[in-house]
Amino acid sequence: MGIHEKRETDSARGRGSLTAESLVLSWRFEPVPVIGLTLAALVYFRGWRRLHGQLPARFPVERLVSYLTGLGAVIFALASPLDAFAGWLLIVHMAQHLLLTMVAPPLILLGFPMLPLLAGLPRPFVRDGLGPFLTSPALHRFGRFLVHPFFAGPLFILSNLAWHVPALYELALGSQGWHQFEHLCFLGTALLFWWPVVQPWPSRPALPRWAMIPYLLVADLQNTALAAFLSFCGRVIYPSYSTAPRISGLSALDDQAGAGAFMWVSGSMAFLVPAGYIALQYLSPSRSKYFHENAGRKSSLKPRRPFDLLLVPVIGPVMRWKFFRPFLQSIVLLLALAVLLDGLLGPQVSPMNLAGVLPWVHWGALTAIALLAVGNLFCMACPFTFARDIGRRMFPSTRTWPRALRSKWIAVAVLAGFFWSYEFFNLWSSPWWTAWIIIFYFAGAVLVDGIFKNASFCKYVCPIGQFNFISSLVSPMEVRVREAEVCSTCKTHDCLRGNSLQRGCELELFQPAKSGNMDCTFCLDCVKACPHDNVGILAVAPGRDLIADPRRSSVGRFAQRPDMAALVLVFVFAAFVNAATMVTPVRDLQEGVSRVAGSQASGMAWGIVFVFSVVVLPISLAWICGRLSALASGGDIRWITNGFSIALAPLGFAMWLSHVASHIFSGILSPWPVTVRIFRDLGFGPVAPDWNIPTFAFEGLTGLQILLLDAGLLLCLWILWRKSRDISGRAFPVFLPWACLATALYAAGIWLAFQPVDLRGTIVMP
Amino acid sequence: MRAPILSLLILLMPLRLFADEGVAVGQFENGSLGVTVFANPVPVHAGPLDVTVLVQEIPSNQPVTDATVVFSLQKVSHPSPDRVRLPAWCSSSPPGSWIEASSAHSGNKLLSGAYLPLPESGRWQLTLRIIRGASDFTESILLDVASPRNLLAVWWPLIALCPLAGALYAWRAILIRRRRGRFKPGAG
Repeated sequence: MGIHEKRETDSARGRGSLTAESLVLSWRFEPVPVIGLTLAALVYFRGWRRLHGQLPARFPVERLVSYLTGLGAVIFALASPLDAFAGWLLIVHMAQHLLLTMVAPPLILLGFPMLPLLAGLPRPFVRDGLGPFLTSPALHRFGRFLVHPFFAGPLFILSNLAWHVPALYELALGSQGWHQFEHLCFLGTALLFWWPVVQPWPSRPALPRWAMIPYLLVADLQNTALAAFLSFCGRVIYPSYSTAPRISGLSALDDQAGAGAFMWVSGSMAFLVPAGYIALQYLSPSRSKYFHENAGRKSSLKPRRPFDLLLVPVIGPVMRWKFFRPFLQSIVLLLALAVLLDGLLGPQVSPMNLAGVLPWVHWGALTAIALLAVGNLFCMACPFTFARDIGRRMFPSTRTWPRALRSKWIAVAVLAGFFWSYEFFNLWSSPWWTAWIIIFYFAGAVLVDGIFKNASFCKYVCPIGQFNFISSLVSPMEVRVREAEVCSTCKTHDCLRGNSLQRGCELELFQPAKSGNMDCTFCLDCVKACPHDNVGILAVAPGRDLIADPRRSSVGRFAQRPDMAALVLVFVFAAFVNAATMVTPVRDLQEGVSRVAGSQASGMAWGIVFVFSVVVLPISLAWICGRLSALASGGDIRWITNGFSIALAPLGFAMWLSHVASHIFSGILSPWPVTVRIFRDLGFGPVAPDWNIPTFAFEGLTGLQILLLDAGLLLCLWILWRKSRDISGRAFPVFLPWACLATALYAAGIWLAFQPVDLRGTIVMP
Repeated sequence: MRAPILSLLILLMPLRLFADEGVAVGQFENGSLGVTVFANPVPVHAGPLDVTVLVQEIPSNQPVTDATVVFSLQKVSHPSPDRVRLPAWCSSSPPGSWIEASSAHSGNKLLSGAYLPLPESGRWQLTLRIIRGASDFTESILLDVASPRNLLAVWWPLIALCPLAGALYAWRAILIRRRRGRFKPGAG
């Protein structure tokens, strides 16, 4: 062999391995199905773990393995190279369908999924949400009908036959939507088909066990007939495969015959092996042993305590560590100092400066994600209170905050002013101004808390704190007492007053009377001060505190707090206005007005429009809704307006989340070139920053934003409905005006989600 | 037996299936290479267009993964009034500029692809340049681009979740009322 020939052979071999590698790596990651099936697995695992402790013989490890393998088979069918090449090779497409119809469904059902899924879901949701459906006789009958062999068997066969008709198969190959529907039909009808065969406990069979033998044989007959037709047809039935690129040595006809043979063999195994097993089981004299082995065992389940983050191994002890908060705060303080210095000394181009990137994109997004996943973690890591604590060593505060100012009105004004100046002065585009805001913030925290005792700055002034307090009303965790009885015997109230080792709550929240997250900075002082170790970070239903309106420690009732209502209204409407000012149609309109009226007049006009939209409009609309609800219920307009306005918080938070999602996915890597630039400026490296960073925005981002808005609207409507029911026997007229307001805001949010966003503070690769 | 419905719902809810690679819109051969071009969505609408390309050796049909593929779009009909604003995840390069295809774009790693910006409807010419070793050639395909898709028509299933949840809640209330009626003292 000559050198030239050898080179060509090596090259061909290299290409071959490259192609094989490409084939094996042809996986897709799509967040929605992966997250959905992962959630299904987590819910099952949570329920299975409980049931395994109570009924180990009924729920052994094999059930868990079976269920998870079944879900894995679904993922494999939909995300693996099987899916990537299904459109080119019928045999691959057939393997995909067989996984969905003959592998995944029986494995899932062998996991006896009903009870673990119910036990794994939050109990109030199962009791109040699903309970009425689960106890409905009509649905009971419908469910039995769906899985009756006389219905499920023919439906499965019909679905199989129908989707193999060339016209329908071609329809699915040519359309993503129909392809999804086809897979849904396969998996759905197969789950129903396999139900009477597996008969997952505790369901009861509709027919004697022996009837499953002919049931499976009929299904096999259909499978054999279809497979034989594909194998011996002699012409390509599905035209798409004759025109598809051929990536193997198989011709389209060979591919079809192979698919038929594969269907024949694997289908027969899938139907005949269980039929044989059932026959053996039926003939075995000890068949009833298994079904009675748990008869004498008590099936009562232990009451479940809410999840407590502080009891989680590693995380709990770390969070309770004395220096955990100062450690977090010092990290954020260093970041704040870096932002400040770069803002003052670095280039005054927002996407190239830390002050243009971190505070306006990453800090906002990470705070919102933490609020959604846990709670008010930003206030826990607040650098301003850290500076304040250091400052207090020199200026020990002696005065109490004036009684006349003990409300949120100052915070409302500061928050609205902050949003206004953000737009009016384009703060996001000025690193210099951003740095000065941080300086003012540090100065404000040190000054206010240097004069006044406790955390007056956090409670009455800090706009970031107010933003977090409102958002955390829908957080899934809350700092609260573990056992109420323990507090009833406590005489020292260390959680509030503190002791010689640990200060108490600076925001004057007395744990036994605390409800919800309003005014809670997650500082964990109460956790460390409690001598009974009775305070934890417990899981709560998001928005729970917005329904009932108890007299909360240091907060009172929401219905009696117009300042709190105003704060929430500013928070909610600012979410929509802030997003609107970044979408292209509104930007175009602004530029058009600016061209006609001049930039100064236009700026003034937009400033007035902003104040109207964030302050005047929400208060007017809330008053109108409150008035209408009060007329319908005969209740007090102030109570209704205050209480119901606060119920809009979930929708506002959803809008903030939806908005920051577009920023963070687009510009998540934007701090990287800025960091490289700073190191180069400091003389630590000659590498020039590459400003062309890739974007992580994806096609489904709009869908994610819509889902967030859906969740916000539904939670908001649910809270409004529950509140309406609580104040009037005729709940609907009370509910209606507020529901209309929430729906109108939701519609605005959807429109905004459809618009391209001006990515402030981010340079993305074209 | 209500559980079958529950189990089915829980299992089928996350089952939004994966995007296909699109529909073949062009096939051509040049020397020892064969090229198949896929587009998604078809019919093509103004907005981002997902274009993927399979390059194969002829006559072995061996897929080629080391070729460089670049795209360019040029409007060949009159300007249209229905301009569409492109989202951040799509290239915003002006018409006529070259956009390089990447194998990371698709799930199917035998394909190279990219999202191409089609800012308005009308007739567009998609030009592909394929470079592999000594082979360097361009081919063009004409695309008839329809008006932009109504985003409501694309995303309505997610928006419909809210009315659906409302209907389920109302149904739940009816079931509770019926159950109360059934268990009322003296009621049958």
